[in-house]
Amino acid sequence: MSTILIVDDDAAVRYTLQRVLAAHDFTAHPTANGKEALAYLKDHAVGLIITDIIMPEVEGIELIHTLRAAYPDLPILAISGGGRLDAREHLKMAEAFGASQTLRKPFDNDELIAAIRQFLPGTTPPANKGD
Amino acid sequence: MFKANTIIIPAGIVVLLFIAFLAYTGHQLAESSTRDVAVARETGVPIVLGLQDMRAGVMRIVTSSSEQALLQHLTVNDHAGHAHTDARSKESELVNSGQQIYAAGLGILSRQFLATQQNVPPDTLARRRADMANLATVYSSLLASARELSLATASGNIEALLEAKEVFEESETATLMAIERTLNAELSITESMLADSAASTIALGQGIDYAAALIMLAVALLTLAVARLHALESRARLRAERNSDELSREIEFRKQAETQLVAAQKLSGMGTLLGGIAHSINNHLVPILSLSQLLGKSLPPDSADRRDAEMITDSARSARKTLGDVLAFARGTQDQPTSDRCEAIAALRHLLQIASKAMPSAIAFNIRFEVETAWVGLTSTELENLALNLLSNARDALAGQPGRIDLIAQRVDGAQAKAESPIIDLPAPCYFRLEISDTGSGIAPEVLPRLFDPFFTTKEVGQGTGLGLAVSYGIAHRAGGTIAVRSEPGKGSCFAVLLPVVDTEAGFEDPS
Repeated sequence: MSTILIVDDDAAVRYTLQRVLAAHDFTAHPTANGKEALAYLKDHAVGLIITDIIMPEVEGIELIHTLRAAYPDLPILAISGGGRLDAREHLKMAEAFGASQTLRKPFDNDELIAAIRQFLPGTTPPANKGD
Repeated sequence: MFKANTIIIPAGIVVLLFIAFLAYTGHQLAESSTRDVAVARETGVPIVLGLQDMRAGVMRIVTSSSEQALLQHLTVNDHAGHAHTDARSKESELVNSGQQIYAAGLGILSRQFLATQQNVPPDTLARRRADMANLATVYSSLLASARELSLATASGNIEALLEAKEVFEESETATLMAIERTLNAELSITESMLADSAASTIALGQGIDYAAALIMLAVALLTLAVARLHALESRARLRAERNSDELSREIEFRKQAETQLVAAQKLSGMGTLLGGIAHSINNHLVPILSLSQLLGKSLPPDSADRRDAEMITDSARSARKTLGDVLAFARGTQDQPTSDRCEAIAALRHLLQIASKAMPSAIAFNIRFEVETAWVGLTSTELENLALNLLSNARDALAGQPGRIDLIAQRVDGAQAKAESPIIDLPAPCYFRLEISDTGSGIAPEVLPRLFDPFFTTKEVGQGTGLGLAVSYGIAHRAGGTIAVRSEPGKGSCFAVLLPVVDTEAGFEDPS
């Protein structure tokens, strides 16, 4: 089972993503910023990265750019709640920099899982939990 | 002006004295010999006639250059440009008359010369020749400085005008002084001739005529000077008025531009603030939306707890929608250039497939496309949202009553767009105009200024967020356009969306 790497500076968002992913039988590892994420990636194999775009230290867009260069085959799911530019503009930028997929915050769980399954199809939905 | 006056008064006195003098000497002339009289008549008549012409010309100048006449002429014409032209033509008329009189004066003097060659002592002759040459030189430099003055006045350059005026006045003074000197010399000769009873009466008479001609020249020049100064003054006054008009217009324009700038900055500031708030709240909504969904699914179906969890989920979704609208409005307030493009007619047709079906049957919904294609700087979704918002408002304005909604899509040029929305800056040459009008309840005039304010709504609580028009306006604004409203309570409303026509997606100009 591939690990999903979470990169977001908001603790509540990290917690939520972990809970939702776990409920759908995904394994997730949370990190708070790009620095932590890159450090983790050095020693661990990861199937997908979910990253916020606006973060301190290593900015989301910059992180995506670095990831693309260092790990060209790694799928990147970029999420954003807007900000100075709005979410749409951020996500357009993310795509331009190499994100594989973008998603706006807040998201419906189904939306999130559907987006992830595009890149990690191997995980089958559990039969006994209603979706 | 004062310079002319200080010369006119002494010159006037000289004229009066001379007229008295003439009366006395005229009496003397009558007593000359028959032969003298015959010669005098032969040479004198044209001179006298010439002098009469001069006198008439001077009177013409004096009356026509009166301040009253000139001002009257100027105030009758409202249009500043027109009055300006009239002042100029008046001035050239006066200048021409003055020049004619001066030329006539010089003509008389030269005729005088021819007539008096035999009878005038050689040294007097020589002096008169020198006088005339001097007067001619002085006068041509006067004419030159007058020309310079005209040019400087026309240029509108204040410094050049003042300098040219100074040069002209110096030249005028020089000419007048030259005439005065010549006149004084002539008068002293005439006096000595009068004292000498053996002097030829013809010579005397001619000397008198010469002096008279000189005086006339002086008067002509003076009235010319006065006329020119009058004209200059009026022109300067007109120019000042025009400048002050232009200045007022400039001030008014700047005030408006400043107001718009302040409004735009406020709007932009609000947009940034709203964007920041929306971002923060969107983050807070992530656990609320996602975890309530998880909770709900883990609770027994039909249980109260599950319903509670689902209520939280629905509420979080509504919050997301509202924030989406707020962000759409915030986007509209930012002046970032957009590369979005869509073909408006296709987008509208797409919308109308669904929207016309949703129109109540009591409403007559008329659609009119006056253009086949029009590319605008929006996404098709944005345009459809905008049109849908206006159509919904129109439908709500009719409140179920029978009525009419018109949707018209057309192209207008920049001038027509500006006429419809004069305050907003609409620089594009061509606009796509989407009109949505209804025969509904109309909008009260006190409500109109607040119509596009975010969260302003005239609808019942829960019926509308008050963001629809704010978002629509923001969409139009982002595409470089605006929304104009006309409304009459009881009659209906008309919303006109004006969007600049842009290059097509493919990058070439829309041929239609």
